[in-house]
Amino acid sequence: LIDDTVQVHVDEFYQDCVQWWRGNRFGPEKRKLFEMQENMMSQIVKKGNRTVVKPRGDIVASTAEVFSEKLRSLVEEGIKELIIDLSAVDMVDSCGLRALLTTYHDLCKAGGKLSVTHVSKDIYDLFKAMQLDQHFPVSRS
Amino acid sequence: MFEVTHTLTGLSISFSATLDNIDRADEEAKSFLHRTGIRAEAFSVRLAMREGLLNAVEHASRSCSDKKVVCRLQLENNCLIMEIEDEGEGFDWRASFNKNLPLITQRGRGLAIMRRYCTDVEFNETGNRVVLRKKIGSRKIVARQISRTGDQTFVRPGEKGLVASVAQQYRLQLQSLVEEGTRDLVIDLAGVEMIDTAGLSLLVEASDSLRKAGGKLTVMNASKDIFEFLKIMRMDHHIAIARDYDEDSG
Repeated sequence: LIDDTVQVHVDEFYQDCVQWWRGNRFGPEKRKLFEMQENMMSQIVKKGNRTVVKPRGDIVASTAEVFSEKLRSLVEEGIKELIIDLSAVDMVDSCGLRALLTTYHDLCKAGGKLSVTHVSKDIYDLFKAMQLDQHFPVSRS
Repeated sequence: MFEVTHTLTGLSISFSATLDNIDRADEEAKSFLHRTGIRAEAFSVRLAMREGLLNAVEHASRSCSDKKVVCRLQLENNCLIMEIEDEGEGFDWRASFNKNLPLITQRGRGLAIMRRYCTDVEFNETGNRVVLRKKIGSRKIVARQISRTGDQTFVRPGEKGLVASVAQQYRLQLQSLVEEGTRDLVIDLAGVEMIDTAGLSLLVEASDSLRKAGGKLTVMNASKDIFEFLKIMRMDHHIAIARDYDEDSG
């Protein structure tokens, strides 16, 4: 059923985070934070030029930094078309908004594009209110 | 440190200023909103509270790590009042109040979100305490009354009775009570004239989930008709049932 060209990196996100803090970039408190990030593991599916990232939990203060850093590493890898699927997310706070905007900013500089899909009604309204939709496409489906 | 107290119309949380504790506080708020029947405004309340807490945590933890944040939610008439206070030195909220939305990668959306999602935002002079008010429209509460005496929680369904049309709503409410830690639940059937099979299965379910959690369900003040019906349906095998009449006179 799964196309050969599809690489599914389940749990890769968390592993990357573990690797990342082992690199001593953070103190013990941050490391502990990352250990508690298991809920934030994202599923990453690459197909051709498109990369779909599907976070499994809320993008909020406690998780946004890890999320943001993972997306940055994807951009550095050279991906050009990034789709963030929010179907499993029911809360995004100001840190989450900033993570998305920063990713958008990084992608733009690298000549790529970002879109956000499967956004709940509440989060869609938030994105509109905070004018994220003026930067990149946001869709309910 | 994380301490929480639920009251009938309020919630009080006190915790060390860390980001993870914001998530825990949000979980408590979720259960409070569910319990008090606040649905339409739940997202707004949770988001605004998160922003207030984030602000407090950031400002409190700036100086040292063992500072506390206190958050109180109180429902008064049609208004939910959220009071958030931290032990930090505050910040210049006036400067942030008048700013436009920040540039793409800049910080500073929290205050804009609070103002957008609340009816009213009020900081104290130093900026280490904020009161957020949110008008609440209709609330969906079925049980007419929930009260606590010691360890016992009483639910009084009222005249409508335990029937199919309201069973699902009761189910959610009883579930949330169990999730909140209620172990000794008493359903007071005073004034209840009707109970149907949906009501019965609700009682069985509630009794099962309480038993699994190490608790128990008691039914009291059953009218003669209802008491006999419950007996015929062998409900007394699952639940302790008390009548509202004497056997002799009945």
